Amino acid sequence: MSSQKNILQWRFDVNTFKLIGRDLITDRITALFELVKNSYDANAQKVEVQFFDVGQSLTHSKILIKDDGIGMTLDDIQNKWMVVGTASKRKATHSPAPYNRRYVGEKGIGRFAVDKLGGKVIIRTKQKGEKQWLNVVINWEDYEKLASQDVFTLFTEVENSYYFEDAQDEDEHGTELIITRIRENWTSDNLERLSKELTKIVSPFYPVNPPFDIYLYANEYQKIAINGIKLDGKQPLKADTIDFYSHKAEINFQLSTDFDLSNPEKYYPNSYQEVLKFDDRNGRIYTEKATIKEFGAVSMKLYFFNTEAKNKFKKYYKSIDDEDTYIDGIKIYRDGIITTPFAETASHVDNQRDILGIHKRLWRDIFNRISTREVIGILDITAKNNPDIRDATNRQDFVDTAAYRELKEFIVEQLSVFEKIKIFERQLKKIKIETGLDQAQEQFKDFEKQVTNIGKQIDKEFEKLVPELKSTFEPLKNIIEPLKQQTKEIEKAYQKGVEQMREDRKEFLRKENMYLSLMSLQLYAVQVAHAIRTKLGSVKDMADFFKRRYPDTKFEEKFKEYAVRIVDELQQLQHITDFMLSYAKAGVADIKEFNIKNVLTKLLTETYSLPFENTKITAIVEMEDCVMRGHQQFFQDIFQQLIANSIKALENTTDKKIRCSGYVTQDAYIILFSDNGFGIKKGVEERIFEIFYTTTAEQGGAGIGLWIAKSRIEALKGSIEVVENEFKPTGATFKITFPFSKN
Amino acid sequence: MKIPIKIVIIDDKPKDLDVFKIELEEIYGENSVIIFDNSQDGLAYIFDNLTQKQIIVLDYDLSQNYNNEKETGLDVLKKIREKTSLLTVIVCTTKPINEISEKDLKEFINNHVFWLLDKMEKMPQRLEAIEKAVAFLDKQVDTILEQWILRRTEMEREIPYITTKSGKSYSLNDLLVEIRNQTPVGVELEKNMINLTIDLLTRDKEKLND
Repeated sequence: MSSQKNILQWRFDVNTFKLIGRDLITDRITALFELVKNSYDANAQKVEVQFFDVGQSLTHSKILIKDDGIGMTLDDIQNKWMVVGTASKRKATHSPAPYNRRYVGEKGIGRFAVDKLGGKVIIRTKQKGEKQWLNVVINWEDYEKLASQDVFTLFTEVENSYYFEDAQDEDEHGTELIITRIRENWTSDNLERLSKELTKIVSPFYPVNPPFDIYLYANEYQKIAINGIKLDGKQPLKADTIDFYSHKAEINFQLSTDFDLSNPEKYYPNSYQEVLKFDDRNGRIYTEKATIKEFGAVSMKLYFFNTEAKNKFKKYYKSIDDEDTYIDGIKIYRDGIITTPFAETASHVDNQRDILGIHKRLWRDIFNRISTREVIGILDITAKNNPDIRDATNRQDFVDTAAYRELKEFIVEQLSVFEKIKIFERQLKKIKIETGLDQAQEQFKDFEKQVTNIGKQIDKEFEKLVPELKSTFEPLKNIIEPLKQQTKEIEKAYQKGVEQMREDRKEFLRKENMYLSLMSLQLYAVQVAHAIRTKLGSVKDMADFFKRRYPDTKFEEKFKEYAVRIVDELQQLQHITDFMLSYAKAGVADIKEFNIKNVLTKLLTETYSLPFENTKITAIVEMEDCVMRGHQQFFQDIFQQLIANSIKALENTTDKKIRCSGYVTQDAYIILFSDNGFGIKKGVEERIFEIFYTTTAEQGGAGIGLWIAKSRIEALKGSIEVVENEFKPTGATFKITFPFSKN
Repeated sequence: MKIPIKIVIIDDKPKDLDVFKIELEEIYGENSVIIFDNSQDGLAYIFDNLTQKQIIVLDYDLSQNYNNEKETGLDVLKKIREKTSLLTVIVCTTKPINEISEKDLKEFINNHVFWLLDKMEKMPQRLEAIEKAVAFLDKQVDTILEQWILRRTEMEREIPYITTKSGKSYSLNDLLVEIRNQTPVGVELEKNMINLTIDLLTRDKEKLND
């Protein structure tokens, strides 16, 4: 037999061009972005993006992208541009001096983005000093035709022609993409959108020097102006200055020369990342130094628009659409150039802004979450400091690395200070309104008094008048009475309004409370559902046994045993149903006095006896007597949440314990709630009470439990904190303080 | 000789199975039922006693209760099937069938669960399921064959019993392994046994005992 080597080679079907062009780049604006980025990488200072006759018919339409960058030689075209997959920029990381621009086009397929825009492209390019312009013609439609034929054609067999043109000025240089056979119309809206997006291409805070200016021209839409710049190509596009915001926050970083991201264990005393914190005593945001995170050092500027700010904005811009594109969430810039994606249609505005997943949270309309409609954020990263944040091939997202996931979390954490501001301002507003309302009340009364006084004065003077004048001034005298009446009516209407507002607020609180209680109830139901079923099965079996076998004397001992067990187990089931039914009777007005010791003892030894039995948890209750006046349901909710938390923490513990102790001090009643589970991670003792913060997502934790507990405690005028765990070596202890009221 | 049967139950709430145990032992004899409250001990017993006729009853909801039990009934079933395809396994649960995931149901079928028992059913129905399992077990050729092999002494089981065409020889112990794992050799042996029996019967060399 022959020992000749058998070889096979890869070939690319002609359809490949679609796969890496039209089909991969998902929208036109991304396509244009890629091409503009290429100009940036080519050291261009000026890029002209021109649209001709793209509005109505497409027969003569043309798109031009022209830059004054370095330009390409035939060799460049042949061995780099037309070699798929090269990042010919791969070896060098920066463009030549004096620009030293960090290369932003990475994947080497940006050139196929052209196919998304039009069916034919002429690349006209020249380097400085060359005598001729090189023109390369790529007709994507030729590829289409070949693809649709039966003849099997390879991508690499398609012939593309080129020719040379004498240059008038040897010193000219740059690249021009002349795209024809435009695929889709561009409306004025599309161009407005494109223009707004193009202005975002360069970070407003990262120095780009020498400049990189983009000029936009559309022959049919020259009168349209965006931020004062007309689409006549005469002035470069300008980004909006960020204005009208109500709050601004900024974080930066410092890196020492010896800092090494790949060696996170080491301590770098002169390197830090700033993080945002909120001081809830004065409602201020401040920064704190923290260690550099896994994703590397980042700087970020955040602008928050509260309701007042948004109203100011609306008055100035007069159009809702503008708000959408102006207050557009978080944008990430790498080395000064934008990297976060965006899509064409405004109908996906929420999605396009939300690759960071800020919207993916529960109960968005009820709680104080920040939406991307209230924030502008500029996050600056660099390829050097943040190597693990990489663009996905389709440019619509980042590659899912651990670093990226951590970055998303980090951004959300920084945004949480604005959530706290919202809550803080809402409290202030409430107080202001209430004082305002009271003041208004006073003013009405004052006004009435004034009017009455005027009336009296007029009466007095009226008597002094001579009869002829009396008749002239009679009407004036008669104005006073109706005026007084009107004042009274206005005051009445005002009172009604205030009352209604107070009613509405009560109603809102009632609903919110009901909602939160239902969540607690659901939590409990989930915990006991399985236990109930099993218990019922067992009780049924025993009762059934009686039915079938009684009075067989062989089983006398069994009958006695079962009789006791049936009663005990039904009793447990009764506790559970009682507890759940108590929620049916709940109302906001159920404020009464209850004994803390009795309520908690019942909860831990009766209501939870079945779940604890199943999970083999020992509950220890040691409480001093104390009577509290408040909402008993809320009080129970607190401990339900804490118990649920403990059950999760105890999952892998062998000798499971929960201990609840309570004692009286001079000023308050203190409750300590402990378990010997896996404990609370150091550093997050405060964060665990934040809504949606969870470390048990895998066990189904939604981050609501401790938040509910804290809300309830505060509603009862108490406070909760994590203290040193009673159980060693691991465990958690919560200390809940209920101060005694003055009387 | 009627070989005693062992009904092995793995369920983390033995107390709730008290009545079931009484009823079963009435039918199959004292000590015919053994209950384990964790999968580790249960599996250890099962694998130690492969020589016995065993019906295994597994609780699907084993790991429901954050109680250090990491395996579900399905996990235990898979572990058993890794060792042998011959044990009859019943899975029981309190969940209504529409709460069992599609994935798990497929796994039950593909791992040859004999019966899916609803714990909430009446006792007579549950006993019937066990009865069916026992009957099934009794008439399996591989069970009978397996038990015949196991009746030989340890020494008898070690000597080469069969030599195949390719020269490999198998002792009774080896054959036991082959049968349990349903390898080609094991399956072939079973087939041969059945063929031989039928042959003997039709040639009137043996009569079926009444």
